[in-house]
Amino acid sequence: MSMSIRISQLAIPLLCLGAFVVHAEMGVGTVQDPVTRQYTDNVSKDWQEGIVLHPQTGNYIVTYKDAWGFFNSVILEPATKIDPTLKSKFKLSDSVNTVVYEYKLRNGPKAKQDIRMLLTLVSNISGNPTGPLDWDGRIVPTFTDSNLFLSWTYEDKDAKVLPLRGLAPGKTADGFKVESNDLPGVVMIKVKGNARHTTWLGNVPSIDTEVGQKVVLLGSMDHIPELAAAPVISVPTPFDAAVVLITIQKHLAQELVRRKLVDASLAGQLDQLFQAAIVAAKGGNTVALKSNLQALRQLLKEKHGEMGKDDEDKDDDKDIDKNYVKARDKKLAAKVLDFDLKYIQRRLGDD
Amino acid sequence: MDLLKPTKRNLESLIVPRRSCSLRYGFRQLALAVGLWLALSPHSHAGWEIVPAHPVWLIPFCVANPYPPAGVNYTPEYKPWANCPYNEWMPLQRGVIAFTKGACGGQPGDSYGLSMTVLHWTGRIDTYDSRDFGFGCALTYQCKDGTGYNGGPNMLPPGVSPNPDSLLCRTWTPDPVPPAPPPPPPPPGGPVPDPDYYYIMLTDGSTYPPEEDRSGLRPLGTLELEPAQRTQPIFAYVYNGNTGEVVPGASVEIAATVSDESGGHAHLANRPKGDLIAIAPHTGTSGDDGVLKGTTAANGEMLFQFKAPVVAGDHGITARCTDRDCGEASGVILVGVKDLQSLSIHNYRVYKLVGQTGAHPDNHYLTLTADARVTVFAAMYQLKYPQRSVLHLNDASLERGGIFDIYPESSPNWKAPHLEHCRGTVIDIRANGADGALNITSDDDPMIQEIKDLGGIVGADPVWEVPKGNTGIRQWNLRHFHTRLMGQEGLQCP
Repeated sequence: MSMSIRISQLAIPLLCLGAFVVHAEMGVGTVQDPVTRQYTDNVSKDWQEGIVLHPQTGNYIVTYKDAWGFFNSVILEPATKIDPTLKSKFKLSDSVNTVVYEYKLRNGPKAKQDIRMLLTLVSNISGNPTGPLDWDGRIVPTFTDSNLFLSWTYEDKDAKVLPLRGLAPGKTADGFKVESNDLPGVVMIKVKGNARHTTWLGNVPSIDTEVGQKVVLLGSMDHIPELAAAPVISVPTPFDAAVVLITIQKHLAQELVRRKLVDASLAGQLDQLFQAAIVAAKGGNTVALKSNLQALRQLLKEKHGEMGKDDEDKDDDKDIDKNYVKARDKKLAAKVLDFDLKYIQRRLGDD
Repeated sequence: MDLLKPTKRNLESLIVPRRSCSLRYGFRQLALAVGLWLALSPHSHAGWEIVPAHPVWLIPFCVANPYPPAGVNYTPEYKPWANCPYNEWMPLQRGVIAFTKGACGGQPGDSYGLSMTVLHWTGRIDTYDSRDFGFGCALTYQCKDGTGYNGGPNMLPPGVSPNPDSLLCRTWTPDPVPPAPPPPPPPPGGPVPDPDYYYIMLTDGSTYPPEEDRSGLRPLGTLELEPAQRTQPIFAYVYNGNTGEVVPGASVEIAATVSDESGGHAHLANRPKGDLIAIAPHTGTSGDDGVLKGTTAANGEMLFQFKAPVVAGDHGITARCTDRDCGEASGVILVGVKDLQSLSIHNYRVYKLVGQTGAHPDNHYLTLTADARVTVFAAMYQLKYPQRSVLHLNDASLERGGIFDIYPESSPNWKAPHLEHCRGTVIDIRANGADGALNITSDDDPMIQEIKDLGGIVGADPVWEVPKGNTGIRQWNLRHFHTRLMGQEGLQCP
């Protein structure tokens, strides 16, 4: 993906925060040098709380008053100085009802940081995630719902100095893999670079302050979002086509349409067919159900063509434009839907 | 919602079941156990009607079978019920259970004492509302519908139902009282004694009845309130005990109190009592003494609100008259954040709890989800670095949240906040190397990033902090990870 695209993504928080300053106030505090990171204590001056971009380093300078009334000016380095391209593949495994998901990650040569972490939410996986050499895959419950955090982190063994390593610019890592009984949907995978941590002096700005709220907001956006296929469509045991169809229909409405991966007109047509299929499934009308499933797949094929082929390595090492990325993601969405529908057909004994 | 957990030390008898052992059993097993228990139990307890068991009646099951069956782990969640330390559990109605504690010795007036608490299922499978029905043995209450019970409260004023929720019976009458002997004739020429007597009552606005029907006024009882929040209007009435009419113009004094060592604060000096704020037409606010004075209006009422302090605790409100004897009315307000639980000391294999002080002896309360996340976080750290000491977990929140006042250390002042440690979603991980804690050796230590990565995996955000304190100088010896366990959730303090 081109750096121009990435820069525009980086600019989103900057547009929000670049000029964000609060009133000035005389006081005493500590300043961290934006380049050397060295501290100067007991600085007495007119302080302006806020968050500004340091153009030379591309980092933020956060100025705030701590709980004791002392000022601090510290560096916040975003973890978005990367240029990731994440590709996902999925297929039925040999044991028919398990889906194998594989990911390939590339960090563009113009990136300023190594890539250190991939993180997303999935509904379930079988076994443990596996990854390339030096990447540690983890699955952890969210504890807030039935979803799981799925992550891969670069393991910088015996690291002695900062910054820690990760997937370097210009490098590709293949072999991120999970298996799941659940079907694919399109999810946002957070890709994070190896930004150096911030040392918050006194205390991190409280959420009760304007600066604190902006810092939390920055943290929530501190990644590059990549769309990929991942297990998010739960498949109940025993198999229930109606339940699966309802979940896919919900995913279509809440994720694919919201992310503009499916055009509104097509979404409307699909939704009608989904509704008919669900009614048929609930009513035990297998003939009608199969017919509706076939109609759904046919409609997808008419709009997106054949979906069996991958764009293997098409965009490696090339500057690609935003339109291409959008078209690729749309095709991924269609492919995911077709796969899920085909899976249901298979479970109904129709394949 | 669960009732706030009363401070253990002060309200020992007010037991609130938070989680039942039932979660580990199927309903079929439960039904069998409850049925067995009912079959073996006497079908009458001092006149109570026993009604068919509801599947959520879980507590009797523990009495019938106080230990987990084979194959079921003994868990902290199970423990309260496995102990079942109460003498007797009694089903009262569908979803309503009472337990007694103590012994009466069988005779009214015995000095032993019997306390009773009624639990009312709130609609959530593991949640009961709790009402303390007082303490004593002397009285027998008789319901008008023919039911009644012994060992009930002896602290309720006349005219006040012992069962404001109508849990036991809809109406009641006290035991017949023998007629009082006629008053002695007034001494010749002396003052004629006032035949009237008065009593005062507090009731909260949430149950305020229409003016034409105040016969069913509900006493204040126990309210729950978040720190820094206000109650609904509270009404103080003065009644003429002879006529039952309200008394305008009575001088009333409302006093706010706070229990020592409640809400997780064991320090005493200058503890805020909360504010009593008069509502128009009355005016005024309580001062440092916690007292609000006023006069009942033409309709016999005095209105006010209680504003909780920013710290959690058990508060009391007491009302009395200053121009006549009208007895005393009181209520309890439990101030705090609900649904916090203490990190288990049984997880010492994955973390160590540190930072307890005399002022705050229990400093590791979290929400259920935050608890789970930090436990997984610590376990992953331990797995990754088995040669290192487990994580040392310092301050989270206090028993009922609210402001966690950590300064000055010698005598915390109820104000200086431990930022974001109010709602059980944040915990500090010690990183200063003290007593085997994680030792971050410099600002360039790669372990800082390792910890942040681990946090990210479990949905937490370990924020690297170097405090400065009131000197303005960086205090490297206090370095730690201020760990937000639930993202932006629960970071705001009152």
